Amino acid sequence: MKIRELRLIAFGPFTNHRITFEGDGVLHIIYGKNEAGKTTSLRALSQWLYGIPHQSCDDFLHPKASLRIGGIIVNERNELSFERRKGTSKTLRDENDQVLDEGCLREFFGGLDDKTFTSRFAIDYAELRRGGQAVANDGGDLAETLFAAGSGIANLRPLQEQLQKELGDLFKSGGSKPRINENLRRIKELKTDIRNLQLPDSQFHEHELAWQKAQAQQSELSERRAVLRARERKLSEIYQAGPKVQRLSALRSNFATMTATPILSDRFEAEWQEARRALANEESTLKRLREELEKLQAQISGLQIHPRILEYGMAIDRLHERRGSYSKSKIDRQKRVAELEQIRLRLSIKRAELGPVAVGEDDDRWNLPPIERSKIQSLANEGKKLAERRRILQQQIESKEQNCRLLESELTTPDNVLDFSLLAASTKAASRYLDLESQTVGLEARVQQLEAQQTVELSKLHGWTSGPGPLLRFSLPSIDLIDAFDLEGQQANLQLAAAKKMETELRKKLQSKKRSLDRFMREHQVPTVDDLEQTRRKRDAAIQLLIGEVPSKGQPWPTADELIVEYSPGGNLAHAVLGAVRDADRIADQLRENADRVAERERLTTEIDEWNQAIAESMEEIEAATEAIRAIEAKWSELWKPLGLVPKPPRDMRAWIQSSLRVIDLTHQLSEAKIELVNRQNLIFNTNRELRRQLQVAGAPPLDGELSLSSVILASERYLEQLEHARQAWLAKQNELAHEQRELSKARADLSSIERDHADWLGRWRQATAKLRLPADWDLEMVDKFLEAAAEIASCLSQTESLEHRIAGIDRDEQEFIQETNQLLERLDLPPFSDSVEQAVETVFQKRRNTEKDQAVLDKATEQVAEIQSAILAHEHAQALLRSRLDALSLQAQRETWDDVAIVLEEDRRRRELQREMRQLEQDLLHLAAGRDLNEFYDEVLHTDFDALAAQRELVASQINDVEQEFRTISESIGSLRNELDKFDGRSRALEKEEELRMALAKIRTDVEEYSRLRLAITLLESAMEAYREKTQGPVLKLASSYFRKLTLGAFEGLKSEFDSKGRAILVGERSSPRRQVPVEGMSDGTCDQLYLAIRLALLDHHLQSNAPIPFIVDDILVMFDDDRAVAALETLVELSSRTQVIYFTHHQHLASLAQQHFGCRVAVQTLR
Amino acid sequence: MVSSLQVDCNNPQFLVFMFQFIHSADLHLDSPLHGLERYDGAPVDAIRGATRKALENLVSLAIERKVDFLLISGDVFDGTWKDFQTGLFFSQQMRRLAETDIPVVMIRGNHDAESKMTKSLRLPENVELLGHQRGETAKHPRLSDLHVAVHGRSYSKPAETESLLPTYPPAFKGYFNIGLLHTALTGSENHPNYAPCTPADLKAIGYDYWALGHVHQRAEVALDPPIIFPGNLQGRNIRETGSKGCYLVQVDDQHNCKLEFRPLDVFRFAQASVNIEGCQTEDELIEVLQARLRKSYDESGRMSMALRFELIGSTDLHAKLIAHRERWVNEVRSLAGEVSSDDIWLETLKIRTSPPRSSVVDLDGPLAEITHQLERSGDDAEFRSTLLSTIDELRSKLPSELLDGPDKLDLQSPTWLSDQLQEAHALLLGKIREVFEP
Repeated sequence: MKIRELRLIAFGPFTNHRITFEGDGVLHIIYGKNEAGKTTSLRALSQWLYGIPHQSCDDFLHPKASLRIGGIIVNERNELSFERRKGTSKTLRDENDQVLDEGCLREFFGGLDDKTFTSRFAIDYAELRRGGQAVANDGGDLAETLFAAGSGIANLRPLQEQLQKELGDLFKSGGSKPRINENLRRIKELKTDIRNLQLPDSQFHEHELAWQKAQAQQSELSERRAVLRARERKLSEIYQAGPKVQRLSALRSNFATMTATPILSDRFEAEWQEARRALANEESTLKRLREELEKLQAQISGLQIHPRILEYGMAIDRLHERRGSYSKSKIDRQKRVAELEQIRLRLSIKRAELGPVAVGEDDDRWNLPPIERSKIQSLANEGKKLAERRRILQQQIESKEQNCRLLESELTTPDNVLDFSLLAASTKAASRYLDLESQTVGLEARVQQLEAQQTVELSKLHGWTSGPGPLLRFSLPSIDLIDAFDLEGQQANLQLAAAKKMETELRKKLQSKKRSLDRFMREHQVPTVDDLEQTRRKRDAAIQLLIGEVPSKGQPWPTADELIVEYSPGGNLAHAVLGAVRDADRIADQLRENADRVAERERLTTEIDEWNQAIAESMEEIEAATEAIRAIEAKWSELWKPLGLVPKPPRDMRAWIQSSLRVIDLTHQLSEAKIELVNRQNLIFNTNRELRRQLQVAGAPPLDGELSLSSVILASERYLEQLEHARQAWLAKQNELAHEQRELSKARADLSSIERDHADWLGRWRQATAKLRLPADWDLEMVDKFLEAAAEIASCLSQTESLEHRIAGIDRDEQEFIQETNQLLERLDLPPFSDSVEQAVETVFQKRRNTEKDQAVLDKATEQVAEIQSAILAHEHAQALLRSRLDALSLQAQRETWDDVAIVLEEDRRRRELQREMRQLEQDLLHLAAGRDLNEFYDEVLHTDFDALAAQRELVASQINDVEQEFRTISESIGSLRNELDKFDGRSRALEKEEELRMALAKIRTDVEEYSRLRLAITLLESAMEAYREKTQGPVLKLASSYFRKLTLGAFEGLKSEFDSKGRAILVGERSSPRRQVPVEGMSDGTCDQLYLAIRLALLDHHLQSNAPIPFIVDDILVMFDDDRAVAALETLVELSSRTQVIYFTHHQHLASLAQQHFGCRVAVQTLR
Repeated sequence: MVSSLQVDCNNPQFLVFMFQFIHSADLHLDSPLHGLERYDGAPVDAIRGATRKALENLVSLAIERKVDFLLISGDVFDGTWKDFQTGLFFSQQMRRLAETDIPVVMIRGNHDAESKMTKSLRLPENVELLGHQRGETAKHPRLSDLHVAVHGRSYSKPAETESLLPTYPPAFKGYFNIGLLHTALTGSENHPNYAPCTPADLKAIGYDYWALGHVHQRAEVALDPPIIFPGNLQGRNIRETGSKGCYLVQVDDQHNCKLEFRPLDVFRFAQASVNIEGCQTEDELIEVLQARLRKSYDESGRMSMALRFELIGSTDLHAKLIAHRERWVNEVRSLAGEVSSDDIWLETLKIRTSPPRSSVVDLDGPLAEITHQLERSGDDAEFRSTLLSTIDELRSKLPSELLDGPDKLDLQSPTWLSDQLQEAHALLLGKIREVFEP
């Protein structure tokens, strides 16, 4: 499949842009500067074929729905023109915008999906770099490299590492942190917990039984303890009752003696004491009241009251209130007088300033209406502005006239400044050859390099001394022919070797057989069939001779004499016949008797004959092979005769031919390089000469000596810069002069206008200032000052009037106040004031206040006196009543004096105390008796032996202690059992752990499945890598080797597969000189990139051998290649273009130029704009 | 299935009920819920003691509805569970019924026969466990008062492979006869075929109601007379989906039955599948998933649930889903939490999607080789053995609970390996695809 056309109808920055890919076997280069849309085109190509993704970044110009890409693809049979629009379905359209089935692309792509297309049939610089780095980092792992390059992943290591990491996060043998390991540990813990928390039924029942038993024991102990405690309690009661019984007994005896004193009622003492306390209180109160009465009466007699002052109280208050206003007015008057003086002073100063113009106070000019004053001031301001404007304009006109004169004097310019286009054009033209000069240096180096390479290659041609020339003339045997000779020779040699080997083996076997026969013959003397035949022949001859027959012709027959000598020496023929017959019979018998031995011997003999025959045949084969080799050698020598060489074996000559081909290639390259060098040098020289001439014409200072073109261009560019600078300066001044002249005209026009305005203003000014009656020679400043002074004079006059009025008012109020004060003093019968009216008013006011206070005190004291006198009477009455009550109580106690009653009361208290204590003791005993009869208990205690009681109590206490101890033990046991049983309350602690366990198991299950997936994925990947290596290694490595040699410009002979110490197949490079193997670790980054590229191309090449072509998209992979290697790489792409379409995108102009320069019409360059 | 007897007041045939009872079975008390992996936001509290809560619900229902008696048709306990606390809990719940004077009649099922607990547990007096020697009739006076005869026979051993019916007493004349039987009838998926018999056998005995147990899936096998499997009280794994509970049965004086299923479970298992074909972006996918999760939640009555969620369909997102399974599991967990206020527990996320139909396998390239290796695993036993050996070490470390039982992780079975290889293949291709479009 090939792409014929790509139309960017509405995509990214493009609108109806067309890229065509015409011509077969051509490397298509799409060149575009940065931002020209190269990447967009590349993206468009993929999205045209496979659809525009949902989220597109190419919709910034055209709306999403309008995105559209079109184009044409072809294969050997068909052509398909289609467009792609954005959407989720029916995005493939034909030229008439009819929906096309996606399946129609299958014919062209064979079902290749987008990712496979972009990964296997496209390569960019990033992939190349990743691939190169991966090759270096992985030590050239062959399986990994082939897989990574074949899939376009470039670097498998991150993927493998990621899978391994995820695997390691899940499970590690002997690990504790990974999830599964941690969870396994947790599960163990949980199982232990469950075992511990589970309650076996037997345990429950045991606990229950034990608890019931303990309860029974506790119950029994409890009963025993109760009995003992009752006993203890009884003994204790008797023990406690002992002292109480004794005390009661004593009290009872004492009480019996108290009979003399009268028995008082329960309330007597309280009443007596109450009456005594009340009487004392009354006495005390009466004393205090009488003292208070005396004090009040003394106070009333000390008070003095003035009745007139009370009468005129309100008048005094009013006058006192006005006193404050009077004082303030006095102070205010002083201030106003001072203020009036100040204003009068300022008025006289202003008048003095105006001089004779200010004649009278009633002048109407002082009270000029504000509108008129404002109008005059406005006109004054206008006048000032006009004058200022006129002054500025005059200054400007003067300055600009001076500037113009100066600029005019400076604008004299040489002609060369104004026109230097010829020099600029020449410089620009020469600049195009600037690269040429640096390239020439490279070209010279290349010529030298090629010459050196040629010499090296020639030195490799053994037996060749004629230099490279003849090699170009003669027709060299082809490698195929040499291979054919080599093959023929090898086959002939193989045949010869095989025949020789066969002969050797046959001879060995023959010798063995012969040894067997000899051994047989030595061991077994048996006549042979030949012996029998010979003997029979002799017998037959003897018989025939005897009967007179002539033996038949053919074979020589023995004579009769010979037979007689042999069989019967000294006898006759008959004897000889007899002997011969016997001999024949004997041999026949022997043969018959030893038939198996005979057969064995015959077999050995036959075999020996066969071996001999085989050896003869082998000898013939050896001869034939030797002859064939000789013929091949002759033809071989004949082949090389035209070159005058005595040839070495084909293998050597193949290398010779390859070297000579390289020599020829180098010679061609050298020749081309030299021609190119001369051409470039001539071009540079001519350009240099022309530019120097132009410089001279343009008036530049002459250049000394031989200078390189770049130096001359640099000088020219600098001179052009100077000229341009001067031209720009001249133009700037010209502009400046024109500007100044325009400004001057404008300033003059403005001045005329100002003059007219001034005349108009002057008329209005005179009219407005006529009322002021000012001298005619007064300027604007003076009029301004006059107006200002007039306004101030008017203000001062107004203030003076106001102040005089105010002072008069104050004086009037003061006189009224003094008069009223004097009248009041008179009414109060007080003397008139002497020094200050204010002091007099204050004094009267204080007197009024004091009189009021004394009146209030008098009123209150009078009231209190009445109250106290009434109280004294009441208390005297109560005192009498209390005394009567106390006397009545004394009668009840049967005593005459109050002191005797106190003695009776004391005795009564003692008797009552005795009774209370006896009752308490009886109560206590009743309590201790615990229900028994008190008298019985009293008697029992009274007669108890307390020493024996103590012993009994100790015994019972000891018994109780023992029972308590036992009870505590059993209680603890019950408590413990209860606790245990409380745990058996149906709670689900084990279940909680079990649930946790199930959750942990579920988690492990998920993790195990995840682990298995990852583990199997890793294994699948490894198996696939190994399988892919086995499948592709042979053919791909051979192709990659060739590509690598080309891409490294022969620095490497090729690539080989070796095994490292771990038995892993790895890639190594083969260095040509000196010949050695280089591991990938020893290769530079660039070489690793080239290695990756070589493998990538080889895989593509291999794919093309058995598949229909698919375009190969290359995205600027040569950016880091030097020119020579870039040319080599471009050459491989050009060659590849003959088998499949190759489209190379670049934003490097020089790569496109290099391609055009080296491969001419085999390259089609298009520029994106 | 709609019962012809499941009638209400509108049915003239059904008069005012004379008595009512609850038929339950397969409590499997303290059997933990399986297959739920803990994660943040999972409703862990909802599953805690779920079978206990279901039993509490059963007892509360009986008390609330003031039923006349409660029937339990076997498998109160889970055979291998040894914690006696479970038995004590059961007794506590039965005592609650005793307090309201509700008698309980029960038989032992295969799991009870296996459990030691049933032998040593002292049940409250209101609970009557029918014997295992022959079919017996419950003796509780309350039943006689109601003219109800409850017959049944417990399992004597975990596997009763013969029919127990021949020893059941004949129907009591004038009584409402109920038969308690723990059976799989003629066989049931996921349940051993114990105490085999046919519905016709049951009918032939002449009882008025057959209260069956053993099969965890609720079923009304027949309605005249009713032959009922109430199913278990609480689903315990993803095979036990849907609502779980008991039957509340009301019987009138003509012995007509009104059946009402009452859900009692506190946590539910459900499965949902969502076709994500057409989702092109992650946002779209999330939207679709959210909608489906919400629907599942609504379908479960918005109660706490475990959900097995399956994604199917051919989608551009296939590679991403496979390559980042864990991320998507967390994503779905988070979505489930959002739509249900953390009521949905994601049991498993099954990613059964496929790559877009337009994409085909790489021709003869390395990626095709991966697929070839997958295919090879089907034919090449040695290769399969090599693949299995890669997880041998892990397998040897795994606890027996994972390697045995109905949900066992059979790491050596060809089916498991085949499934895992398919997923591993998809995972690998997904990861590789990510290299091209990170």
